Amino acid sequence: MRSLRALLLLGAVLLCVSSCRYGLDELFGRPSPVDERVADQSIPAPVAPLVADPANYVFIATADTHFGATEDPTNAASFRALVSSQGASFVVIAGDLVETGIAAEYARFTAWTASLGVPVYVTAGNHDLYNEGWTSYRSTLGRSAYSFTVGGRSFYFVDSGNGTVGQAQLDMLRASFLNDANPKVIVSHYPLYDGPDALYYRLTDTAERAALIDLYANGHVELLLEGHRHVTHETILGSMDEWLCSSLVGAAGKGSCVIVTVSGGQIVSVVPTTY
Amino acid sequence: MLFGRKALSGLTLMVLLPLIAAPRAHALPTAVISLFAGAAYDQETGESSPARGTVGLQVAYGSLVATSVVDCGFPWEPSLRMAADLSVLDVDAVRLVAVSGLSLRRYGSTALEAGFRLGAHAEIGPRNIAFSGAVGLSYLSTTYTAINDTLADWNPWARVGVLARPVAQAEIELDMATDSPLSLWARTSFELRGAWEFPSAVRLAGLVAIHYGDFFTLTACVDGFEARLECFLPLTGTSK
Repeated sequence: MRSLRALLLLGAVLLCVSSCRYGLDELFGRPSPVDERVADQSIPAPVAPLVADPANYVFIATADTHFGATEDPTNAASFRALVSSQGASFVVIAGDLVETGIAAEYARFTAWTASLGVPVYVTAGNHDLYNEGWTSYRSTLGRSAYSFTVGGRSFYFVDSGNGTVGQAQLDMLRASFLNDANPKVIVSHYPLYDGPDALYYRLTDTAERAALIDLYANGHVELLLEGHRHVTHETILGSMDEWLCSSLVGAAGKGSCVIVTVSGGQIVSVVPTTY
Repeated sequence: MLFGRKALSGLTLMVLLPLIAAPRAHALPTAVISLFAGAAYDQETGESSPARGTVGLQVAYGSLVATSVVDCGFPWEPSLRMAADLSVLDVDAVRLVAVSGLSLRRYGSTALEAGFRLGAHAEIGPRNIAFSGAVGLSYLSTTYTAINDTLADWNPWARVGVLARPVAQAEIELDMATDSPLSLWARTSFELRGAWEFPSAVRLAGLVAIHYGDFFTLTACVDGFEARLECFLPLTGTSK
């Protein structure tokens, strides 16, 4: 009985300590919620990649890099080698770029992305916002919600870092889609659906999901690239292909991502790859 | 189409069951049948109809309380729920209720959702103030028009809080819920519910809730607000 009590006490202390690391004082309301982040048009938008042949290229999607302040994720170096070997034109990362949102982690993350040798496009995950992380995100990476076009295909980066896209961003997406007939790729952190047993680790508002599925399916979205669960998983949603991209963290050699090949202007393959 | 037939059958069942139960209950002096109506404001992302109206019927018979409620947003976002709660234990310090429910909800023209939930609700402590908690499992089957497909969701749900009955006429409950049985939305919510029964047996019940986009990963963003007020009018019997 005494050992059980000690175990419970130890668990409570560990929970408290680990939570404090993630900014427990913001438990009931993180600063800069998604409606504010996406409405700030003073933040510069990333420049679209210069792809030599916009009808034929490869890009790599991953997520959950979780950079710490003192060391890179286990598979950071091997991912760099993969980007080079695949001849990727650019990389997309679906959020949780850093672990606790502090500036030192963002510095380490940006140093790594610069070393990849190709443009890197990101959006925010829940970890990126801890400890007022948006301040560092904003100054080092720019907008968390934006779009660009490569050839005849549009890429939309959707900020779901708070577990919701929010009404402001939903309205902005609706307005953008009205003037964009291109096939589209969506990159966001929280999964839109991810199968019947995904439980809590996805967008949990059923009204929001209904609105997004309607918008995406009628707006010619063909590919969704997401993260959050640290698994690689595909779900078919009508004509849309939803892929969860795995994490850079974990055992050496167990990094995972998806490699997307565009040929003749069409997405011809989405291949999960371990490196 | 098959799903549509099932949904219609479920809808018919939900509407008719309390009505079927009513004549039997009418013959028994312990039954209480109440009609209720109310209004709600429910603002969330993607919600096309924040202003909502509710109307329903409740039959209390012994340890069973069956409720059917139509909850419709304007201009057109109806939902329909039926719940059956069965008290299985009621002693001084512990009260245990088995809860179940069926639901249908239309999201404008974009989706039609049907689901059920099963669970148990417990109160531990004196009747005037007690810890309350509930756990269960819900299932949703949602047909989305745009993808012409039906997606399923299994969700465990739970709520924990404090329930107080400071006087005989009043009931107040403060809850943290991961999936609100009152509103169907799979959310993390903080809810304050209250009810007051007048000497005429008319009862007013209200709810104020805030909903979080995600709470348990410490993301903490309030993205929804809900307020409801319902008035219960007893048609037969009395709760006293």
